[in-house]
Amino acid sequence: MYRNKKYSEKLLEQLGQVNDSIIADAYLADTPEKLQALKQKERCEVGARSTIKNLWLKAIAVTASLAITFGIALGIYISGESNPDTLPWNEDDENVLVEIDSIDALNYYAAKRVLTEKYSARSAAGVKNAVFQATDHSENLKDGGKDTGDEDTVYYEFDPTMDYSLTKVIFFKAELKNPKGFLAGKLGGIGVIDVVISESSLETMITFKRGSRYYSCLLNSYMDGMMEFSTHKYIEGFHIVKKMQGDNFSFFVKTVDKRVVMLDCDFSIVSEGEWKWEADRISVFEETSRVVNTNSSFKIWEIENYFNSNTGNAYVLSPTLERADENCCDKDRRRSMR
Amino acid sequence: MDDLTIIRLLHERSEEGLVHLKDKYSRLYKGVLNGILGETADIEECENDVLLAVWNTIPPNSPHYLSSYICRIARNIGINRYKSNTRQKRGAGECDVMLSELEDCIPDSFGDHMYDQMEWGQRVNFMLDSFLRGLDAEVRVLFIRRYIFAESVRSLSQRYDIGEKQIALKLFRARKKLKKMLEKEDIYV
Repeated sequence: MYRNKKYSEKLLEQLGQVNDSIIADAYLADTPEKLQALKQKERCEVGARSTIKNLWLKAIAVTASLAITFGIALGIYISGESNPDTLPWNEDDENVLVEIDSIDALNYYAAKRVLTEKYSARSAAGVKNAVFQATDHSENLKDGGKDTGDEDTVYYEFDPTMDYSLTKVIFFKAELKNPKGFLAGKLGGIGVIDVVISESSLETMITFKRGSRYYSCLLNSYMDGMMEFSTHKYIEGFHIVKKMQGDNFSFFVKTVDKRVVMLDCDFSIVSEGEWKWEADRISVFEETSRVVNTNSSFKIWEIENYFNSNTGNAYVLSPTLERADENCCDKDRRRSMR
Repeated sequence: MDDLTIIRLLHERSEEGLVHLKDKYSRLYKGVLNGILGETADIEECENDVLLAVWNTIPPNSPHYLSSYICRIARNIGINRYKSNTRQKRGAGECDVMLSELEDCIPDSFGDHMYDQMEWGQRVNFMLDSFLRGLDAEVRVLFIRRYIFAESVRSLSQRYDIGEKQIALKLFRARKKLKKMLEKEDIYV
C-alpha cells in the first residue's frame, strides 16, 4: 500500500508537468459548449490532416505526370495561413464597446472581424491568394480639399458609408520598449500593442493600437517579404494624408513562412520642438502572428454591430455617418507630424 | 486584461500585474487548492504562496500559457501542503481519492531496469504527453480537470452536464489505458 501510494503521488506530481498547451486547452474548455467546440476542432484537424495527405499524394502524381509529359520544372506556390489556428487574443477580454470613428479603427476592427470569423470557423469562404503590393488606390478616394495652409499636404477623404474591402490581413502583437520612441509618442506610452497590416480597398496600411489610441501609415515599398511603411502617408480620422515633405520615418516588417519575425523602426533622431524622436525598440511576439487571405467587405455599422452584439454589449450602434466629419482622430497626431 | 499585459506588468515589477492576475485566475488556483486540500484553514495561506511564487518567478520566466503556469504552481504548493498535512495526520480534500484512483494506473509487474530521477521524469513526461494527446478531446479534458485541476467527479458532472457514473467510467478507462502504457514503457518508481 505504501509503495502504491508513493507511486500514485509521483504520478500525480508528474501529471502537473505535462505540456502547457494541453492544460490550457482543458482550462479554456470550461463549459459543455466549449468542450463541444474543442471536440469539433480536433475532428476538423484530423480531417484536414487526412485531406492534406490526400492532396499531397494527388499533387505528387499530377506533378510527376506533367514533368514527364512536358519536361519542365514546375514552381510550386504554397498558399495558406500561419500555423496556429486559434485567435491570438483572449475572447474573454473583448468585452468592450466598439466605436469606429476613424480609418485606423475601421482597419483594425475589420481585420479583427476577419480573424474572428476565420478562427471561429464561422466563415471560411472566399479565400484567395494575395500578395502585398505597393499599389495606390487613391483613385477610389476623393480629394478631401481640407485647408491646411500647407501646400505640400494632400488630404483624401474616405466616405464612411462605403464598403471597406479586405483581401489580406496580418495580425500580431508587439512590445514597445522605448518610452521616447516615435510610436510610444503616438500611442501614448510603451507596452504591448496590437498591429494590423491589411491590403484593403483603400491602400495597404499598418495600424498600431495601444489601448484606445491608434497610429496608421501606408505601404511605401515591398520587396522580398519586407514591407516598408512610410509616415509620409498616414491616417487622420477619415482622411488619408500625404505629406511628402519633411521628415520621413519608416517601419520595416518582415514575414517568414507566414510569421512576422521583425518590426523595425530605425529613425534618425529628429528634433521637433522639445521632443526628439528616437529609434523604437520593438519586439514581436511571433507566436501571435496570423495571416489570412480573404475577400471580405464590410460597412462600418456592420463591424460595430458584429462586435457589440458578440461581446454581450446589448447596445446596438447606428451607423456612424455623423462622425465622419468630426475627425475624431487624436488631435495630437497632426500637431506631432508637423 | 490579456496575459501578455499581465506578464509585462510583472516584468516591470508592478503590483498591478498581480492584482489583474488575481482577478483573472483566482478561481483557477483556488479551485486547484480546494480540490487538493479541501476546505481547510491552509487555503488562504497557500493562495498567498501561489501569488508570491508567481511574483518571484516572473521574471525571469515569461510563460506562454499563464493559466497552465499558475495551475502548475498551485498544484505544487497544494501537493506539498498535502504531504505535510498527511504527515501530521490532517485530512485532505480530493487528494486522497485522486491518489487511490491513480493506483489503478500502477503496473502489476515491474521490470528490472532502474531509472534515475531525471531520466524517470523525462520518460514519464514524454509518455504522459503522448497519452493525453492520444485521448479523445472530451476524455482528455475530463482527465486533466480531474487529476491536474483536482476537480471532483461531481463538479465535472455539473460543469459538463454529464452523469457522474459516465464520467467515472470514462476516467476509469483512461486510467486503464495509462496503466497499459506504463507497463509497455516499463516505467515504475
